[in-house]
Amino acid sequence: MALQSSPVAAARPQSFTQNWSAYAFPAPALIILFLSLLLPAATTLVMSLTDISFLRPTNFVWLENYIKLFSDGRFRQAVGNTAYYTVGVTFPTMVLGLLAATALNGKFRGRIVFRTIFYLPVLTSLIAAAVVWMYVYEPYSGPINGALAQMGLPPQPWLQSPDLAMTSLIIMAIWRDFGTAMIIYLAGLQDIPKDVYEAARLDGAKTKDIFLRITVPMLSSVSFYLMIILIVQTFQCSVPSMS
Amino acid sequence: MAGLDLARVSKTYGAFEAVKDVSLTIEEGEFAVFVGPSGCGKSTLLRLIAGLDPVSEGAIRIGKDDVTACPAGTRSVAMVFQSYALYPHMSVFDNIAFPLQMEKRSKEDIRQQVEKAAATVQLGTRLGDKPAKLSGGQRQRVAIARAIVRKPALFLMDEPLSNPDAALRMEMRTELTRLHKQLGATMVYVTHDQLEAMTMADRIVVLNRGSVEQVGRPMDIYHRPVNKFVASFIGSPPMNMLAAEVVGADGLSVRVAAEGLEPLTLAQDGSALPAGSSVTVGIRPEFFSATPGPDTIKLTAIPHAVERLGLHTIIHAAVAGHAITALLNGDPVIEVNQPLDLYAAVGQLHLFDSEGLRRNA
Ligand SMILES: Nc1ncnc2c1ncn2[C@@H]1O[C@H](COP(=O)(O)OP(=O)(O)OP(=O)(O)O)[C@@H](O)[C@H]1O
Ligand SMILES: [Mg+2]
Repeated sequence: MALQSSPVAAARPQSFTQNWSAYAFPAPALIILFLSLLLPAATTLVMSLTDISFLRPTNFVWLENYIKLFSDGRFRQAVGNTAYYTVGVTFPTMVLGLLAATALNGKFRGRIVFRTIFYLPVLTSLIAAAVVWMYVYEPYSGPINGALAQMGLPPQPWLQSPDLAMTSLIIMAIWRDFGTAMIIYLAGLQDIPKDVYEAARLDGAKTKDIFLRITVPMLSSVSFYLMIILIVQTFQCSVPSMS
Repeated sequence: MAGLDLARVSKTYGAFEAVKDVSLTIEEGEFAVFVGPSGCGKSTLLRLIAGLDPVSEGAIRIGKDDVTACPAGTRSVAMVFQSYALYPHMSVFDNIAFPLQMEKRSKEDIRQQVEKAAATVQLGTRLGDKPAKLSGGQRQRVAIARAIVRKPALFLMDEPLSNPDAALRMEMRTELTRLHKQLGATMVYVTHDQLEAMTMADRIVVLNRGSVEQVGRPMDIYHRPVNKFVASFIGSPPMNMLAAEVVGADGLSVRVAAEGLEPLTLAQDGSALPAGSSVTVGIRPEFFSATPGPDTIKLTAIPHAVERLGLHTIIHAAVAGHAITALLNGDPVIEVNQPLDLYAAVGQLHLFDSEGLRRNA
């Protein structure tokens, strides 16, 4: 690289004074980025190595905070819960989103209606959705326990039981996120040429083969993008220790 | 290997008839070419044969089987798409192997068949590459290999040569003809290029606005087009059409007069062409000559542009105000805007009636 580019650089020496405008244009954005992202991140990192408390003079304690953190069982459990929650939300959301997108990609009556219904949870406010789900999961009069009672099954403490609460939260998160996955997959599906599907049909592929051998692999870059988004998004709601 | 039989096949999209009442038989082992202008329904007809779209009416038989109701993939038909439609995420090997994998053949069998098909199209060394790494011509070979690997009863090709450049197109044309001989397969080939149709076809099917205009061997269609449409579509440059009038006719001859043309007598039954009816005289550009022959008529033309191709010279000229094209051998001296006498062999003239139907014997 250096060998290739040096003759060019030598032929056209460029001083800062000649190029100041090239630096000036992105400068406002760079300054904001620096102040709002890089600086706080770096400061946090440095602060994590101190015993800062605003009441006492600050001293460097180096890795002591970290040692304390990792030896705390509750922290490890919180990390474990968050990981479980992230995986539990991300992959079912992707699978359901892909299935919904595939089903709604065809041309049939009412597909717009279905797409809208599936996407609606993404648009509703989190608080409104949480209230609705609290009602759905309500142990005494909620519809889920109502349905269980009708089938002669005992009611479940959906949000109150440590065993069930995580699953209940995951279900709610999937409900919220899978519209996003569906829309992104729908866009990805539009990019697969129709004649590739037709070729596969002529080659004797059944619906299942086409889905597994054509659709899924051709969406792999979309899936990767979606996975990153979902992991980042779900990881942010860190789940504290339960039990 | 099997023949193909279409019986009164129609396809409508809403109120639009893309294919109208097409009946057609293609013999086993034949290379048939569907040719026609853009939008005439060639691709639609091919998709009906493949089963990618259902017919609105009529029946399709491949060999002895009525496949009208069979879904695509069960008809023993392979298709090469205009876009090639390769599977971009699979290697060349997997692309070719895909139809066999769908038949759940053994790994070893698949490997042998794929290698054989790849060798047939001279692709043996590229089996590990993804399609994106291949040139246009190589992609097309992959598409062909994927079609032949399954040994289908019928090959369909939709304008497979419309992407490559001219040199490659010529090469692929010869190669497809060779492949057809080697496989002895029944092939239906779609093109809008009449040159491809003429050079490759055993039989040409000329389509226009969803209907079959004429079916025949290339030279039959060239020498005896059934109507004005076929006459001007097949042959390049297209046939010259001069408006004319019947001045006298009987059971043995028709006498015709046209502006810029010497009085002309055609030896044929003229009983259906009453005097005074308007007709069209068709002359192919390549049947003009600069010197009179034993049975020729003279036209006086004013050339306004001359294209010299070395072997031939194309002259764009006006005869009594009507544009004509003439193709002369070699590179004769021609002066633009100076009257030029051209001679046409009477035996090579075509006579079309007011409906556009050819009336020559
Ligand atoms: N799915 C469809 N819906 C409505 N009309 C269609 C459909 N498919 C084709 N057509 C119409 O049918 C006619 C024939 O189309 P087709 O694609 O068969 O033409 P073609 O002969 O293959 O032309 P080209 O040489 O341009 O490929 C066109 O007028 C087209 O608009
Ligand atoms: Mg077409």
